Amino acid sequence: MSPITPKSYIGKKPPFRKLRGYAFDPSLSLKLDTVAINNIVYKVAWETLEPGPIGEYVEVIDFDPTVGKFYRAVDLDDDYILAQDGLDPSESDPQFHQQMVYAVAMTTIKNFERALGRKILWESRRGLNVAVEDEYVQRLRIYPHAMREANAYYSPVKKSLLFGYFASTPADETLHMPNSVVFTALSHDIIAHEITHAILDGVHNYYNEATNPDVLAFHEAFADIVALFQHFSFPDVLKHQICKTRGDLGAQNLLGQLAQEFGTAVGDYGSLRDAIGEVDEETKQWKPKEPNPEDYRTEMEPHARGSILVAAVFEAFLSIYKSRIADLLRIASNGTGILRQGDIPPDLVDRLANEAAKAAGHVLTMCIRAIDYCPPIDITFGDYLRAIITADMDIVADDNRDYRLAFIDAFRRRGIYPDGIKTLSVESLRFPLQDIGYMADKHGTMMKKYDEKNDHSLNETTKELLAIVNGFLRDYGDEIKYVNDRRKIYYKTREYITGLYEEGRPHIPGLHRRLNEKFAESADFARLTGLAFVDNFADLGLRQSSQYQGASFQILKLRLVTRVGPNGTQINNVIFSLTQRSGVIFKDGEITGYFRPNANALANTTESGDPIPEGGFEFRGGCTLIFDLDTQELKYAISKPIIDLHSLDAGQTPKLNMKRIRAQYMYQNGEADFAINDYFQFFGNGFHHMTEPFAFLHQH
Amino acid sequence: MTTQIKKAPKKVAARTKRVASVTLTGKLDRASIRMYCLGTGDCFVIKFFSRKTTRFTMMIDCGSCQGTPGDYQPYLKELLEYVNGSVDLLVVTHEHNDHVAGFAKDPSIFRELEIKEAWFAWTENPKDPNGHAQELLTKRTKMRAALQNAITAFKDRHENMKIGAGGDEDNSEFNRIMLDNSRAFINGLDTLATINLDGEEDTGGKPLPGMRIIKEILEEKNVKIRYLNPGDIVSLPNAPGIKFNILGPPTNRDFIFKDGKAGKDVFQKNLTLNDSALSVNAFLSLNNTERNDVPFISDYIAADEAPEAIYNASGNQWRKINDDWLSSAGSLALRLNSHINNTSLAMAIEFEKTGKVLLFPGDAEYGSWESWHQIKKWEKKGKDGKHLTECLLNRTVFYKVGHHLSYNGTALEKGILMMESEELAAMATLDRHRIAEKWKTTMPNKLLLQELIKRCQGKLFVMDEFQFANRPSHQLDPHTLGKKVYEEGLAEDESTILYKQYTITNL
Repeated sequence: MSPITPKSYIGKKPPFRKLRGYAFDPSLSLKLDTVAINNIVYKVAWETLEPGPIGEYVEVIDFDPTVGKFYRAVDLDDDYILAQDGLDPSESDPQFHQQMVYAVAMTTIKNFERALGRKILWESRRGLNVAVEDEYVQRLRIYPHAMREANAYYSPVKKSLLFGYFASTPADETLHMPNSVVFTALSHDIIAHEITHAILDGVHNYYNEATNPDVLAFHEAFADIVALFQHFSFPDVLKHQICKTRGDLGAQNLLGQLAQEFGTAVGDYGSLRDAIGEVDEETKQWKPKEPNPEDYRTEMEPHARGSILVAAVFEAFLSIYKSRIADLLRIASNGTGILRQGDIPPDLVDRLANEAAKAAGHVLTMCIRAIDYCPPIDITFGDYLRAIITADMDIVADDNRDYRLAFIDAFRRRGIYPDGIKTLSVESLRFPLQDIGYMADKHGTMMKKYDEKNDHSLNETTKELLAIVNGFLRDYGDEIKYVNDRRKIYYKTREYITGLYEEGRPHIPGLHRRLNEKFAESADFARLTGLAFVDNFADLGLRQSSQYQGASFQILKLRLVTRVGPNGTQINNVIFSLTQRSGVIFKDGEITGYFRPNANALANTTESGDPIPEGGFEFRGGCTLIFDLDTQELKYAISKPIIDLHSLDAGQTPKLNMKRIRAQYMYQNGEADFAINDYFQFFGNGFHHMTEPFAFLHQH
Repeated sequence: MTTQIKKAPKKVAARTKRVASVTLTGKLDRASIRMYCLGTGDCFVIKFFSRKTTRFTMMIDCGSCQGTPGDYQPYLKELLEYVNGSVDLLVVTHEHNDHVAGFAKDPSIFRELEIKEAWFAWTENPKDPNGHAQELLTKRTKMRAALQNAITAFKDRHENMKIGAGGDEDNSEFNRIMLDNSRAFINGLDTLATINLDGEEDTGGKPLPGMRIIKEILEEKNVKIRYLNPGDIVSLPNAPGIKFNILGPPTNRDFIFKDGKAGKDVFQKNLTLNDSALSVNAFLSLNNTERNDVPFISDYIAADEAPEAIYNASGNQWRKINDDWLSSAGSLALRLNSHINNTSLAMAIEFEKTGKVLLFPGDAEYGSWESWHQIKKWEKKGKDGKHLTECLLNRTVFYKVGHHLSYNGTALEKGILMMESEELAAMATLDRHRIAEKWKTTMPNKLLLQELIKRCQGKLFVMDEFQFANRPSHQLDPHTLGKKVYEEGLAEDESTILYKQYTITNL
């Protein structure tokens, strides 16, 4: 028998690369009671890495412009480093900082990919007149030491994350040494928060445009929700806290307190979680804050407003957790509900922690999935609630633990109601299902479905045309299904949108052309999408498409989504969004005229190159369309209408949507007091064309 | 008969010491507060009367965020006449141009003016026994120099962007937006620089000329100077019947950097005044060829050129971040600004007989306001065991609005909401014609304005209500109060208002 040496070991690629890191941030490694839980091992999906680390999704470039120096790049494939699960956590080693940002960034990316059922693509460099081959951004860049401030942000312009470091003036001098250096790149929550901004920008690039008070607040809250629940999905972190509960059955309070502690370790980054609860001044006990519906009506500052959403989701999580552990507590307390004095048994701790981690994982997945069901522009918290419910109903038929009710109840208690629905129930919150009633047979010809549900809102032609589009999308789905290379996915998708017009080969019209030819002036399609597919579009301040008839529109984020639910339900959807913009001149609450915006969205002139008239501003409408490839249906049309749907229904000349215009105008041109923060008031340039919105948002 | 009684003590007094004469006369019971309308900035003269006689004249600050010496001239001329060439007390609240610039515009006026005594905050004391003032001054000097460096570097970057933008036709629209935003940022920096810096480069962060000059003049004239601490209660022999209760600046440095919570402590949240020591260091060494305060040991500095090659690769130019960190200058500027605001000498002038209070907080921000309530000496010294500060606020009948109606110059729960007096009136030194550009975004704060109008029942006198959506004069036209209460002084050509004056009786 010849001995097997490692060299000749014919193994498979390892599934993970284990990397040690902080579960919170370095300050907790200084406390005896938390040091044990602060060091955890991140299991990052294995990939080939260059020193940096530079992988498939991210590249860490450690340039410190404040001193004009590069720090040595870590090589995670180094034998010594591999042998010990990555570098030892250390504040004084910049190479560990690089490892930490990489580990957390990849963990977050994988959580998103798992929930969304597709590969993450970063937002492209579109709109900047770069050559087509330079549009695709393969890697997000991460600068762990980019500035000297208690700040970290995602730069949409540079597709980079910038992390700062600063000298601390700690509130508690026993934890941080005064004037010691604090690195934001060492905090799990900050890294997860920032990379979520980047991922969300890749799915909804217009969410950087503050068109209502919820938009920027949503960006902040969503990033915080991901950071928070990702944290809770590490069971080891929770065990420690649950151990401390001892006889107290109000374990949920401890989780709330923990959630807030995650956030406060570095400066006041955790202000978003203030709404979860507070320490009672008299009893010194942490208690959840009673939701106040007034807040959602009056609070306009993005962080404070975002904290309402964070608190709502957290409350939903607690209800879910409570219902999941009810049986365990009954067993452990012999049905009395009262635990014995003293430490609770370690097995129970394990089980409780696992239930909490599981619930956190579910909530995280629900929250992430929902972003596919959101409108492409102008999101409100109410839209997001509907998206959560709809996304969940699609994949989990049997909600036996009442997750959805937990969400609805938590939102309701905070006065967050979606626009335009009459009752607050699971069924009414779900976006209405569309049924076009046609499907393609195997030869590609259209035939009526037998089980037609008789949706009379659309006429037969429209239904048939939609079915043709559906067929085209199915081709797209078939082609993209097995492509793993993200670059190929990007360019193939692009081809399906714009079409393929190469010399010597048959021309293949893209989605843009197909929609345009079929629906340029279709009242039905206008009603469905809320967009100006109407013949008087030019009178409403919309440009004509440069290549086709009809109003110009943009197709965004065509994507194939494949998900498998807990009961084996499989979803095969193709999703894309449409947006349109119109130039409106607005005075004293009324439209006084229109102008056609420049084809270049960044220009500050009209289509003809004239300056934008006084009182003129751009107004956008948009719609997310979800097609089901299996049933061949257009399933949902989630719309922020640019036109007034009543004017269509009443058979009048189509008009623009005054309600939305007025709301956007009031928000963007209201009194300056409702700006983001004083930093923005002093150094910003209004809400239009914020090139670094997150740099402003994260100023404290 | 009455004339005899009145005259008699005067004669006695003339023979004995002058000080004694005043104490024998009636106590001060009336005050006229005159706000000079120099443009956004403070310049006040308060005359205290006993019956019809002026007994005591004090002046608080002299500055505006804009204006040439010529612009100041008519106002200062009127002021000199009004005080009859002499003030009993000059108070300089803090070192911001909108409070001290006037002293440097025409120093001869202040050389001419007789000043009997001058008060500064303890933070200005070069011989502070604890050494705290010196420490703060050093820090302020460093921050100023750093900010000046950073602004210069930021403007250089802006110029470079212009050059870069010209050469790049394809992205002209995008570059225009970047330039617009950069310009807006510079406007913000300039706004804060206008009041915090002396406008000249490479001064190494020296004190502002207004502060420097008034101190020189006081020294030349050998004027008695007092540096005051919170908790001090000063009575002056020539101002009988009133007490000057000193509220701020706080002696605990934590309060100088403290931040309030929006909606509870202040109307809008302010920046956390985190120590910006690291960026200050980096800005100070901006012009050094070798910048060496690296936060790691030198072994970690890359020896090979691999990372640099990726960073500088031709296709990656758009992702470079060489200059992005310069925007820290913004938060540094705000910190410096708040820090100096919180060194404001804040005082409550209290009338012994009626307990009524005139509140002059300078531009104190939340940290300072909060510290007033924690002055140890004053614990349980108020009515019903309350803290004296709370009582003083309860009895305030006149409030000089802090920081020109901005979001951070008036505390909420620990400030305006405690001012319960029915007689409350306020003056705000805001004029949106004459203001540093970016201040317009924060002044006036709508919610504060609304609250003040309500509490003062319209008796809020603003230097100029230009561009106010909610005008206090619409609630109450001040001219209807009668000349004995409210008066405006016009310039010779009657085109401009030189001052607005509010008189309180029954004090």
